[in-house]
Amino acid sequence: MISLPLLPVYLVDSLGAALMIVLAFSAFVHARRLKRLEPANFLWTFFFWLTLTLSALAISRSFWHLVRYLFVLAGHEEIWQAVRPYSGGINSLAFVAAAVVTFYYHNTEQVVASGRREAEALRQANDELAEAHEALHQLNQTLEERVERRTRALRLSEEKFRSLFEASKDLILFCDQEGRIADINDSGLELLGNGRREEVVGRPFADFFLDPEKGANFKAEILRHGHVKEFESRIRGADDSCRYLLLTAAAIRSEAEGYQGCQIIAIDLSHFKQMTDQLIRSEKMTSIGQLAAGVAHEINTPLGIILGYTQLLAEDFEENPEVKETLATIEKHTKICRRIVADLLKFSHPAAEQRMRPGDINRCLEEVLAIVEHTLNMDHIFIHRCLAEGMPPVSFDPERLRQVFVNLVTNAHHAIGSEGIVGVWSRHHPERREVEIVIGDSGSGIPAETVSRIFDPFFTTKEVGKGTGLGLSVSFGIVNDHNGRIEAHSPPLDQELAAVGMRTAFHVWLPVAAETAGE
Amino acid sequence: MARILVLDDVADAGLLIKKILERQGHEVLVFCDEDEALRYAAGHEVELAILDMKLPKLDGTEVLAELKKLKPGLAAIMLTGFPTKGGARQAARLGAAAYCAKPIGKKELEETVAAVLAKGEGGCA
Repeated sequence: MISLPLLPVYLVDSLGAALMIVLAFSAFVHARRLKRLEPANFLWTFFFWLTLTLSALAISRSFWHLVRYLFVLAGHEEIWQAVRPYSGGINSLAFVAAAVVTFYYHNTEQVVASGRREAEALRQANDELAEAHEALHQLNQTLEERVERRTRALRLSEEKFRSLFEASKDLILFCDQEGRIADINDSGLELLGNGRREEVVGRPFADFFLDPEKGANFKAEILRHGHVKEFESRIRGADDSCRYLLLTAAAIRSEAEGYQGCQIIAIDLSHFKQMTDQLIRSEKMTSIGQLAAGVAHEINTPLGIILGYTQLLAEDFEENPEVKETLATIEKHTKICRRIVADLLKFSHPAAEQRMRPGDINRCLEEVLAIVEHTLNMDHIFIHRCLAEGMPPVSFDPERLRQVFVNLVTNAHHAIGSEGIVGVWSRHHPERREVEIVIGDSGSGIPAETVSRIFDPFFTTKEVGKGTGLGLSVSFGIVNDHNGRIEAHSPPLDQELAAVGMRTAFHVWLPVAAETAGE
Repeated sequence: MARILVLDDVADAGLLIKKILERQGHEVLVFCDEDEALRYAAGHEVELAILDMKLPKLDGTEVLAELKKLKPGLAAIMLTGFPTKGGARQAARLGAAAYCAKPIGKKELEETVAAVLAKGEGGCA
């Protein structure tokens, strides 16, 4: 019998039993879900089995409690007493199962701890990784900045060198391995090819040397020493002009592939060289003129004595042909000496002694041609006249200038030998207030190495006794005294002259007379 | 034939002129010193003077000027190793009959002297 005061106790027990089943099952369902999610997870497996056994225990215990109340309420306490041992046994079995599970997973705590340690280690590693990542990111950023900075610096440097290359008034060029011009700046292009890139780029630089041997030397020197410094050379410039360049070059080498080519910087010294040459020549003329005058003066007296006594002796030996002949030879050579001395004196003739007066230069030329024409025609040499009309008066000493023209025409005659043309031009250059006289010949031409020395005193290509080597020096001196210039070109620079077969041309420039310059 | 005074600082040069002109029949007196020449001219008859322009003490033209003071009618030939237009003009102004460049040949000398003595003036070719 169940007494009424015990009713709340039973009620609580019954409800507790039901609640126990519900909670145990919900825990089991939860554990099972977790286990399904991570079948390998040790903890979830443990929870799964523990909640399973606990659910079994909850069912077993609560079932028997409810059965007991049903029997008691029905008044069949004895039946409950009969099944009570079974209830205890089944409960115990469930309880043992739970205990077994707990024992089986007795080191759960350690496992969990180890799991935690692993998780901790993993977290630490993760942190470290994050730190490393951050550092890497920072480094990356700095690197980017540095790369950007370097790129900027590089661009500036590139711009600087590009402008140096392009704006330089000196010639700068790069050659490839074979020595062909790979790149060249504007100044160089102007100098070598009149600004036409296709005429310059791709051509071997050695081709531009007027002296091929020098070009080969230049190349060999770069290969041998890796550089060339202040290499003087004559270069064929635009329109076949001769340029005097000072070359400095350095080889470009890479460690992997060796010689890659070379870079060349060239300074155009043509103008400077021309000026110094002129200066040197005029200095040389002046000092030689002074020397010549001194020597001529001193030699004249003894020369006169030799000549006079020889002539006296010749008179004494009028009857002895052998002695007379010997004396005649002495006299002849003494007279040659006298001519040389006289030329030397003319060469150093003081300017104050000139009889300068304004006159017609064409008439002076015609007078000279009239004298020499016959001699020239005898050797089948004909005169090609191109005298400009309306030439302004020029202040000159007719006697001395005639000497210059006779000299030039005689030289032209000698250069031709026989059969040829002597060309004579006169031109007026109003813009420079100059007249130009050109005397050219169709002769053998003058070798380049001779042209530079042609005005030097005593320089002659004629055989001994035929020329004193003073003709052109004297002419140079006379033209100089007239404030003019004289130049020799072989072959002629002027295409008009070359067209009529001139091989050599002498140009004389004289200033237009001062009083007429303003008219 | 004439009496000719020659003044040249180089003795051999003077002697040469003497030898050439003596063959022509002239009487030639050679001096190397200006003072001696002037002293001789002061005391003797001389028709022609051949003077070197370059002398140790005086200039040839200065000697000519002195001689002209002594003998205004004296003919003179100037010889120079370095002919200049200025020198020629000065010589002509002082009354020199000829102004010749050295070295002077035998024939040239004979002809010049003959011309000067004949006409009182002459020239060098």
